[in-house]
Amino acid sequence: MSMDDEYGHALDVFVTEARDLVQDVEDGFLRLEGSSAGSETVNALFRAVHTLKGSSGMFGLGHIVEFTHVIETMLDLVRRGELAVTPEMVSALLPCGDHILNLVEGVASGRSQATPEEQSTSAMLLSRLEPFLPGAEAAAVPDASAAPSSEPSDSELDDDERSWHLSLRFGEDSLRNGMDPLAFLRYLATVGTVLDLQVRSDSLPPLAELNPETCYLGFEVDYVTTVPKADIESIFEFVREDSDIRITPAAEQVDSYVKLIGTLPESDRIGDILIRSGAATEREIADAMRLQQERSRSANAIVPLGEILVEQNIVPRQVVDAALGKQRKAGETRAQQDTQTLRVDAARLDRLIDLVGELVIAQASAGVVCMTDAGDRSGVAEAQSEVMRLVEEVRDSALSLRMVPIGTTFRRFERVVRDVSVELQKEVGLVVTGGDAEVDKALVERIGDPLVHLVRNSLDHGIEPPAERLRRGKPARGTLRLNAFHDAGSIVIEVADDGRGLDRDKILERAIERGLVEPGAVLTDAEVYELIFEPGFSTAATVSNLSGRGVGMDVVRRNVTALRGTIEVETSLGVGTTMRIRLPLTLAIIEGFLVGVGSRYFIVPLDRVTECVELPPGAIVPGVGSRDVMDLRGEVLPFIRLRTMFGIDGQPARRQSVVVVEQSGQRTGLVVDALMGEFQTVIKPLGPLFSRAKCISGATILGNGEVALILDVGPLVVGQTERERVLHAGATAVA
Amino acid sequence: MTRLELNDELTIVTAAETVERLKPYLATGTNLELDLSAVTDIDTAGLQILLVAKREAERLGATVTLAGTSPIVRNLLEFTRLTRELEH
Repeated sequence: MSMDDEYGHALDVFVTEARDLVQDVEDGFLRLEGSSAGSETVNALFRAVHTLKGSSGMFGLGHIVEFTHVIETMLDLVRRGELAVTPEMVSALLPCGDHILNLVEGVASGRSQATPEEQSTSAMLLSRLEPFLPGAEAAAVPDASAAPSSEPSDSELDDDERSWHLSLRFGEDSLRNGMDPLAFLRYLATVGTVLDLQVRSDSLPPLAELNPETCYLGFEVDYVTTVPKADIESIFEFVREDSDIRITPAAEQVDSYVKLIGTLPESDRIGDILIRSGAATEREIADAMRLQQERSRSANAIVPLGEILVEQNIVPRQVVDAALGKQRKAGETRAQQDTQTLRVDAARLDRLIDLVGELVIAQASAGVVCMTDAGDRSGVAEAQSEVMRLVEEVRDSALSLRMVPIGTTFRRFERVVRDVSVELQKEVGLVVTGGDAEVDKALVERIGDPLVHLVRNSLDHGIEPPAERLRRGKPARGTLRLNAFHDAGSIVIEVADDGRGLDRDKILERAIERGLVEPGAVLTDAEVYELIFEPGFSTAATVSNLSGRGVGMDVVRRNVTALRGTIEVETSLGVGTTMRIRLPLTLAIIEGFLVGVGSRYFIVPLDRVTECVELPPGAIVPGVGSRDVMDLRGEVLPFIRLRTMFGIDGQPARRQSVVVVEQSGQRTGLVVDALMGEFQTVIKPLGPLFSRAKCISGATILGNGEVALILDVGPLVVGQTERERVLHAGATAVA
Repeated sequence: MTRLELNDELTIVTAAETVERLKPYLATGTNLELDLSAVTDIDTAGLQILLVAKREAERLGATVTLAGTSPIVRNLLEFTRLTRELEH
């Protein structure tokens, strides 16, 4: 391990520990109110801040040391009983916890100094603490906060002028679309200096062939500006699609980029380095990556991203070379989100290692049985089943390493509830139950934001202001409940409030207004409440700065669906609302139903399958022509032929089966050749090449070595419903 | 030498019309003097026409010169570094 690697590893550990410490600090701040001087809470809080400061110092993270020092001083005073805790003080301290976390995350992303914004936030937060500090200490505060970091920051070049070469070829239709290239150039001149401009008229035809409304001119511009490349790029946002806009760092700027890249932290990805240096924008990198994928597909070999950037004139070769030099070497191409380290319960790790040991022994003994008892099949079978049992246990045990109590997520809601209720001038108590239910770490992280959204919604729109609550005979103080429990292989998380509940009539009225529902349509309660998840749907008369109930709920649903979960609403007018999220326990394994089409295999998530029936040859609803629908016990069931959908050759089996799947109450049949039964499977995520494949969520490898695709039922059903609607509309229009 | 005055805007709105006006003169190889003193607006389409006219005239051994330019036209020609190419 080289020095650099060791440092990087140690820094990873620092970041992991610091995140935990910040959590402790925040909890401590929340508990500070009502704690007496010298109490365990204050002591623990002081220790956490002290440790944070100490370890930041070890890594030379001066900006964190300076900031935490002031808080440490303050807590020390509290600890010694020289400073009394007030609610105002807690309010001033809470954002400091957030800020420290931001600084730590900055370190995690490779910054060892504060950005100018972070510096000013530090100063602002510390100045708000100042009034609480006694005179003698107050003098020390500006000292610590105002001390500017003496070393130059990464963004130094940002403040300087940079030179660019712009090569602009506007689309033929630009003029017709009302986009005058000269107007863009004039605008450019307002945010920078056009040093030189050349009109390229090579494609201007002779008079006889001239179409006066077509744009033929191109421009080469030498340009100097202080704004970042992405801002220059965004000027051309409206003509991007049809035009060829290239923005290249000017030749004389190359050296300074090379130097700047030298000072940047290493990264797995060359694109990140180039974006951070300002030589390329995120969009340019994304476009180049798309091109790289296309090329790779047609050439069957991977074209380096750097080559494409050079060839497309996006970044000069020397700059790409510098970035390549900075790219972290092989073996560290971990996916971005998995670069975090994970703290694991030692006992669980021991258990896993034990199991692996047992597995090795069982495997060896199976080998012996195979060699000696060749004639006796029962011995082999027994050895085999022992290995199987152990493999299953190892798998479960390995998965449990990623399991953490959901309570860690719930804890942050104390803060959310406190902040939001203060802002809204409501009194709300938070009751958390089931915090020890365990969930996959990755899932916990990703469900956090949707939960925050639901909690904020409940506080903002569910729970009434105290006066209104009293008028309705409720206690002035509202209650928000967070609850989690395991239920049949899923985790259920509930956000429940005792507020005003959803108004069914109002939702329906709004939906009709917005054309989501036909007037006079008869909907079940569940269908009505489902409407709040439509994009942009809100019944709130005024949209507060927190979001109306409905605003952003589509995002919540999308996030939940992305985790293969569902969300349902239970509400009662005047009594309260419960949002219930149901998620699979882990993202890595699903219970699937294996089906075959021709020689291909597909896996349908078992929790989406409601039943399997035979495709009745005569049961296709007559008179509807080519529409793929069948009669299922008197109901019309649309179905999808997987053979057609995935373009699989060959004749369908004589007797085909239909797997009926359900998503949000909508049912669709999947026509397959063979049903092969339940199958527990480890999901292998698909590579980025398949990012546009909508109806497939992953793949797995079967025992016989074949690959089976895992169907994503949500988009499949939605897609089918859309097609049905179009077909239906077409049929009605013709009639 | 024929003098032709182009008024109002020299933009995409009038582009087709302007080209039609110029065509007869250019077709006959007339030396043309364009008076742009009264032009109130000019865009890429207008600029293109001036460049094409100049080129067409050269092809037929004739000339197109600018007899006068309004401030807005002069400003554009300077900005695009085309003053020299178009005025003479």
